Amino acid sequence: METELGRTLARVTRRRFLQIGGAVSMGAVLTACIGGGDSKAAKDTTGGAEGRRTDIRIMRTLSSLEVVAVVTYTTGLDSGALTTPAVADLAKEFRAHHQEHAALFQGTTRDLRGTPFDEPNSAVLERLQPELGDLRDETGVVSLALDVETILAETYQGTVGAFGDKSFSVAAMSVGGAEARHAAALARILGQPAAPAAFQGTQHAVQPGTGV
Amino acid sequence: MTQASGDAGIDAFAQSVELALAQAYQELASTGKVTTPAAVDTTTTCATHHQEHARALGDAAGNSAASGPNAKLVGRFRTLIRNAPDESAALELALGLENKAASTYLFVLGSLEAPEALQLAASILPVESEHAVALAELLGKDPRETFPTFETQDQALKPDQFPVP
Repeated sequence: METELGRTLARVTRRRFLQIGGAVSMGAVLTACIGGGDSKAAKDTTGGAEGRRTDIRIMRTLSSLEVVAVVTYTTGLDSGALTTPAVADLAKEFRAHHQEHAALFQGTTRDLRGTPFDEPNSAVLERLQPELGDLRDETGVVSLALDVETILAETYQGTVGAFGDKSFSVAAMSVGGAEARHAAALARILGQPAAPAAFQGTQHAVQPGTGV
Repeated sequence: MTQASGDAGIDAFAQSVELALAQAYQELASTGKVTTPAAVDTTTTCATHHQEHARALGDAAGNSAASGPNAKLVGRFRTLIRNAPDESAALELALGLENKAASTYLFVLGSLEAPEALQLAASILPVESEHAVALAELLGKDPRETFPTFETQDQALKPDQFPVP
């Protein structure tokens, strides 16, 4: 049976991906504000066939990582280890975000005439498996979720500038920023600083094509 | 004054915003309205990060670097700070600034061209989002207000409204 969430997610398209970040219109506005004759609005920013292949590879990788996050939260919630109601509620909320992100990238992959990837990233899942299979308490679940959110946030940053369609960078960071917020909240639950450094790095980023 | 164009101009604009944010935190601290240790700690960290962002953006802007904080923003922030009656209002103000900063980086990402400029903006945006979470926690905000499914450009500060000094 089709649920409301299912119907909502099915409406996610490449157009929506662009609208989320406001990538096209707002970029042109800034160019106009700052000045300079080199208007991006007049350029083809889609990167052609090679660009589309690159974008499909990145979209499939992002989809796979979002599914890892869904698996992580589902496993954590099912384990019964999340005994603090507020923490369990947060886990449910974050899982719903990742479901929506995954659907977004799967829909965009389809729009780019690629095959959507709806499995968890095998490379990342293999790395996380020891912890996933041994979730004993709330701290363990939150700590694992923090690792996953960090991988996601840094991966989104890593995609900026790598897309064939340059306008996708904005949309990707609209998701990346949301993942960073998740990571900050989980860090606080663990008594760690929400913003541990002035700049986010990419040392935990997953390279496009890895594990898909 | 004509604003610099291209990536350098955008970096200069972001630098002027960061300097204005750093100054806002400084002024917030000087009012004595933020007193609880956790709030002092968080706002001090935010201020330090904004100074670091401004330095990096100024370096990236090179000869086009802003000459100081964004004057129009400083004026606007100053009024808001003056009107904040207590710590809670001051933190609410700071939360608004951080959400605006995150939104602004999403906005500028649409126009930056060089990989280095894109990566610098993309490395700062998540940190502004983290600041917002830290401040929202201090305010005891409902998660639905703190965790959007997607960051948006809705609150972005724009150079036509806040020109680079």
